[in-house]
Amino acid sequence: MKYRTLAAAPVVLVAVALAAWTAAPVELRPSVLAGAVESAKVLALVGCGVAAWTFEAGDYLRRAWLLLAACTLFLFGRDVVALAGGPVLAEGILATAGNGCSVAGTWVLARAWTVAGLDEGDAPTGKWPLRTGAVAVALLVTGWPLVGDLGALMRGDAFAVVPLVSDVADTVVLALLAPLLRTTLALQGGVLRWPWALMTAGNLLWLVFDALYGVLGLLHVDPSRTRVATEALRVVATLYTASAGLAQRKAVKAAAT
Amino acid sequence: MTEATTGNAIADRIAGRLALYLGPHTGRVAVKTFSVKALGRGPETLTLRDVPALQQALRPMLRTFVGRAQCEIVLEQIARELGL
Repeated sequence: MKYRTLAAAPVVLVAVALAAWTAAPVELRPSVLAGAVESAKVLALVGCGVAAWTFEAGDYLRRAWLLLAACTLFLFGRDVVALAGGPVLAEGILATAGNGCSVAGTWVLARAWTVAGLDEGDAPTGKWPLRTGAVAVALLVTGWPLVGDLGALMRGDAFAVVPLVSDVADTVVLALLAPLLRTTLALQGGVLRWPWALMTAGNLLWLVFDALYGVLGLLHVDPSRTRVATEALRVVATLYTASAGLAQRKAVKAAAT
Repeated sequence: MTEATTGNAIADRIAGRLALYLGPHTGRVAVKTFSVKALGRGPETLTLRDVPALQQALRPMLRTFVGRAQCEIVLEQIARELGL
């Protein structure tokens, strides 16, 4: 599979899912959306697994892909528990574990440039504008729900800890867009840029997803009215993780040719 | 317009091989960074005798990005290209 195909596949697949949603009878449409979201998670799990097993035990990037695979698995498990009407506590634990793995996996991936020793030639002042900008944008997007969930927790709503952890995780992952983007740009012209570029694309879409959710909340828009758009964004962002994993394997295996 | 080179054929061959994975700019930056780190001098001074030390210095970087197994393949390709 070509890199450009991997880049286009998430958009094509979400278009197919939206066409199926449009063609489906109204009563089946929620199931079509749920099917698309869960299929995207399964594909992301496969992509992360393929990437992880491209490396040997102890290899730096294997850790990143295993953590991202664990994140997808936990979030898929959370959805299964929710669909089966399982306990809310189990959903919360699985969501928190998934968010933790997402932060850790993205952190490992984002640090690859530094771990490789390539930032020794960088001007120290050059990193800060991008980092500061990414943190500011992340807080702009996640700040409002973060404050709201913190307030709910302070008022004694113990279950607010789950969305609060999710908000913190979103903030960190979105802030890590800076080193991901930097690595993508630095690897321009090489095959290794593809996994970073596709992960960056996925994280940018999560940024849009979170921003959209925040704006809709502020405008008091009924979430059911925009569900198709938000779920389509969720699907395409998740599928970019799958594409990134497959691109990681292809890029690493290029060494053998 | 031509790609910037180091003016040293050995350094350019190594940077060219790394460019396949890292891109041309970072390929050259890697050769420069690790030449200075391993040998204490720039890539324009590289000789064939310096290559094993440079390969050793490049190893952790390559392992990070492509893993141990593929790293050894890349280093072998570099050695083969330089007739070592």
